[in-house]
Amino acid sequence: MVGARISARLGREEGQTLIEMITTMAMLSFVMAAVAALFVSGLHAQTDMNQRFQAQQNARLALTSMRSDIRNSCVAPQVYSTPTSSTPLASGVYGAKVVLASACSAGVATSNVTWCADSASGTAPFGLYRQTGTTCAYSTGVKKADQLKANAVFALSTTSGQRPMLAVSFPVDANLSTTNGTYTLSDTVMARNSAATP
Amino acid sequence: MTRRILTLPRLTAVVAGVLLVSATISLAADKPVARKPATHVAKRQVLVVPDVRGQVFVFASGNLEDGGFGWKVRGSVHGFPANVVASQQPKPGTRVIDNGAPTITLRLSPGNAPQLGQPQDRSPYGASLIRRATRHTHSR
Repeated sequence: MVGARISARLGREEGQTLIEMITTMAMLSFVMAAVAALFVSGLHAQTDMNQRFQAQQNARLALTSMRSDIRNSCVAPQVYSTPTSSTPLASGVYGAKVVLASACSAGVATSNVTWCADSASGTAPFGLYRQTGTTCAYSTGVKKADQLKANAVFALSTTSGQRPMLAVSFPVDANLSTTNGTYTLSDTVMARNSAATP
Repeated sequence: MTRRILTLPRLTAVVAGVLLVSATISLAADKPVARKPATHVAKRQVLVVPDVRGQVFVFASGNLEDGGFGWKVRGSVHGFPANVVASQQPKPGTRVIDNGAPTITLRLSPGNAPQLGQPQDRSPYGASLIRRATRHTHSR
């Protein structure tokens, strides 16, 4: 009985009406649009995550390289407010340039290496550059990291009778249009190769 | 019955079509875009060897790496960070062809810090042999 009814239904020749067809297609297009939007947002999220990972990784590598430079500076590091500034900042004040001594003679620097946070526009995002000598700029330095949200990233810390320390704080943000994605990489490194502060 | 027989090849064709399209999309997404090989030959660039003598080793190696050079340490004093570069080969100012990372050989003298841990006697990447530049080679 049931078998006969199924075979009768299968044997019918009627097709679908145009209204049914259009309704089906409209519903399908809604579903497909939602799926496509989900797919595109997933792709954007992955791209954003990759950019953030890359920026953070570059900052970590730059900090590793910078630690070696700071530890081996044979004179106390000097911090400046901007890459073009020539007046050293006081202890505890953050600046955009730090000059390290790569060679010394009788306690005086005879050659230098400079690190700075700089950009072509003068605004964020800033790059982190290393350059031989006492000057440093985005156009002449070797880029070590980028996507820094601020350029005041170095601060000298001195205490009488102790070797100088350099505080470093890199606020990394690969996407400046968002407000909650900043990753701050901070460290304080002692200049072990330089003399204690009198 | 006849209708069911007619429906089967149609269904098979549709399934085969869907499989073909999805396979094509998957393969296309997986394959990187083929790059055309460069047709022009780059001119040989020249690097001028910097003076790193007297510098603390960690700065000297960093400066050489930033300048596009490779380096290696020779002699009894090894590549510990606080050691000082006593001499270098080739001499500062020598013009060499940029054939990758021309190797500068350094000899060090002991620095202030104790020689602890593993020394680094070679640049972290492969370095190339020194080839001196002629006057006609382009300077960088």
